[in-house]
Amino acid sequence: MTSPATNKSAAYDYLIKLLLIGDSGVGKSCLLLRFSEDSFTPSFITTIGIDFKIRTIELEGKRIKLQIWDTAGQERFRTITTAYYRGAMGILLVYDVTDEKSFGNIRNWIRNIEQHATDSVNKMLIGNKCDMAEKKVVDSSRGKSLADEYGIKFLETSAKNSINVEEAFISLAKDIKKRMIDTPNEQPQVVQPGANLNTNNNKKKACKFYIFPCYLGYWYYFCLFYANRLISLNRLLSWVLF
Amino acid sequence: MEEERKNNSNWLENDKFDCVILGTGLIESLVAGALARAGKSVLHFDKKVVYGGFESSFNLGQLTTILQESNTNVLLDKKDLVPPYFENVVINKAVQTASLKEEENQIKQEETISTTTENKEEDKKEKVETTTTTAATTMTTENINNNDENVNDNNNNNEPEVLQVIDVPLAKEKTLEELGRLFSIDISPTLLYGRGALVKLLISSSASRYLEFKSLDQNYLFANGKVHEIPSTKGSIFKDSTFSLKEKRLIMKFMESIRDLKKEGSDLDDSKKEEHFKQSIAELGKQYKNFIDYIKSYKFTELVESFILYGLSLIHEDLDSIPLETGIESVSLYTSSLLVYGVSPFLVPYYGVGDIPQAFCRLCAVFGGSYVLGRSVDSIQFNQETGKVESIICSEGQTIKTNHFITSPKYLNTISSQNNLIQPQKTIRKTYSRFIGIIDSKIIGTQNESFITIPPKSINGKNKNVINILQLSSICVPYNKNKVLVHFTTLAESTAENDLKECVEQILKGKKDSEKDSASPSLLWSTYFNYSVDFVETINQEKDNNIVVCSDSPNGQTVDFEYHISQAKKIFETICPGQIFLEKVPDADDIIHFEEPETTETTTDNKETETEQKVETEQEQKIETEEENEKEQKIETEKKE
Repeated sequence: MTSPATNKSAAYDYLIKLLLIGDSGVGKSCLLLRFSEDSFTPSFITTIGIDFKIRTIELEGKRIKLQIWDTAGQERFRTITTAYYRGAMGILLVYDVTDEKSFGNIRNWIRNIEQHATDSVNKMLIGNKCDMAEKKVVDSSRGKSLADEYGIKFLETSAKNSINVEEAFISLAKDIKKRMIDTPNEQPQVVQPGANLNTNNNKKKACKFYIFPCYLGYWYYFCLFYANRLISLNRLLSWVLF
Repeated sequence: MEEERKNNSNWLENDKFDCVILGTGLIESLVAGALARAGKSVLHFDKKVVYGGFESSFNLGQLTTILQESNTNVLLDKKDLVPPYFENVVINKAVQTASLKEEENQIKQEETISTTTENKEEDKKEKVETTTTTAATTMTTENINNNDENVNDNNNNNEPEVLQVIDVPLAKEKTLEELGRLFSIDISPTLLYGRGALVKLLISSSASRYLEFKSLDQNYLFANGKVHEIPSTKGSIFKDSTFSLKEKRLIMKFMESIRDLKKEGSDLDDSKKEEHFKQSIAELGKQYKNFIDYIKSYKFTELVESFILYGLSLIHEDLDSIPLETGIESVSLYTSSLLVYGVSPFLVPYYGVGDIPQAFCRLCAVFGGSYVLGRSVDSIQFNQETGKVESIICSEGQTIKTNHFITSPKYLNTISSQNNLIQPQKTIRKTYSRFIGIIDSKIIGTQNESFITIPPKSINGKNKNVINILQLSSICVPYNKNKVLVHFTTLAESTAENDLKECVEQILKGKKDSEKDSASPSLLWSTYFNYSVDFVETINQEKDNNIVVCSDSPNGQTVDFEYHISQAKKIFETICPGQIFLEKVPDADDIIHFEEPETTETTTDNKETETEQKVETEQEQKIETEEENEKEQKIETEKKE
């Protein structure tokens, strides 16, 4: 699943897919923007236009490309597509420390994850908006004990003041790298038309192939034909004679 | 969630949308995605709590529930049906080939029960239970693995024990129920051509980022009681032992003539190719009435004829009247899709067809579309003067103003309106018979992901229509667990069980080529059911009222989604005339926060061919390993075969 890039000169060694999950308005998109672009927009109404963001980090000498997906507002009525969870390697469960309800809903989200994501997916609990100390209703200790109950890591963050955001993503990425890369699992080959997940714009190699497909028709068959001749000369001979 | 509970009647903050769409089948989802992409505000409902309508996928538990529900729903309230729902459902657990006779008797009993009225429903459940217990007890002499499973089947209430099983490696195998979550079972399984309409759209709309596919391993034709590989390359045609040399020569000739018609591989640009193709078709049209006529003109032997008709052209409905153009298009699509993503021309969605509508729903959501599942529209209000839809009332009472209203036909019955302005559409109903089975080993003579076509009249001369079988054993099933998922699909003549039972038995029994072949697979779980789709012939052009009724996704028996896309396009054009359908979304990879090597400019001037080529290059790189030499690559593929 963690796809080692096939090209030696690729810009990254591994691709890791992360998801953000949690109630509406807990600041998932803000966390994502803080991590990927180091920016903060206080007035986010709903998530429009954010699909996923990319950031490449370096861990223990390896370049890790983090692809972090946002819920696109589909968490509001609990209509997150099952497809959203496919192939996810890590999930950040986010709640708002100033909103009791969002904390209570974490259990529901975990149930959701258990249903749709793979069993081995790494999870992490995030209490966001920790800068708003005066409005805080969910105590840190409660977050910690919930995380312990599920055996996952816990951090309180602030996307606004950039507290612990880096740490959260990187520590999750570390855990995943450890799990996935040190214990590789074999899965059938995946095809994603038009996507460049593995190739990552390696134009040098690509150029050669650019010309090739144009002449695919005859060329291809000719090659195949020729190859076949080498393999089964006998059969071919009989065909030629015929 | 919060808002919805606080105030039921006003759970949506926004009460004005450009478009309200009912149903999340593929056509509706495509339309939703396209409209949102074009900047419209979209509110998308589905009465069911899952996406996809008939194009949905379920895990084993969900499927069982939904099948059982359908059985009772049909009897209870016919009005309240929205896809996916089924008819004539029969579910069997743990049918063993050894005790087939006994099973047959029981199935007969079940059948009689399922045809009787609703109050016998409970009896039926009891019967199913007894079926499993007897199967388990008569099975003691069977192989150990299966035995274990059946025993587990009966004590799966015992949870602590189950947990132990998970922790101890190489202990007991997991039961089917435990593994059930890992299945992804399609209601209407579909193959995609490597160069087919959907794959092209996925690339051009960048929705492919939400999906993953697997190239099919091999397709087969069932003839003379045996499965024959359909050669996917010219090379493998030569190696093939099914056809005589003369037959091979004819097949080559035919394929070449098709290629000449399409001028494939020539230097002409696309529009010229099309022109050329149209001209040639017009010329051929003078000589031949339809596709069948054209094929007959080659004077093929029976085997070759069915190889071309059923193996290369995958139009499997109304065989006698396939227009020449469609038939040739279909064969050339087949040949041009070869070796694009793998040896076979087909792709299968990695996690089931259900992800495809979801991909477009996600696209819609990313562009601001609102999604509400498990709810629907109760009624529609019309403007008295213009006769147009003014607003809709949701099932929880909120009134929402809308400019356009799009619905799939099955929802029409569920909506009441003050005046009967929603006229019944001209629809054609098609009913399919389906069989879904989970077996413990592959069908004899096939590879992991296989597609088998059974021509009419080849199962004891009885089947009237083509039967298609899709076998999945490394995707959509628990990986590495010796579970194989088989889908049988055919146009219905009567109930699914009558249509398919003989075929299932014959295919599963298989014909052994040699002693080496493993034993016939046995069924662990299976179901028969029918479902019907409504095919709306003409989309009303919004002039009289602003309601668009789209087809229930007719799935043309398991191959590609061309129809869906063309209909979605039409609907989109009535609402947003002149705009681009699903315009490409800028790549997120463009924003990168780590020094990346500068991407060099490409010399190609044509954008489209560029993407095409990109696909090509990626595939070349993916499928083959680090091989540098093209020729060598081709030889490699050859050797594999």
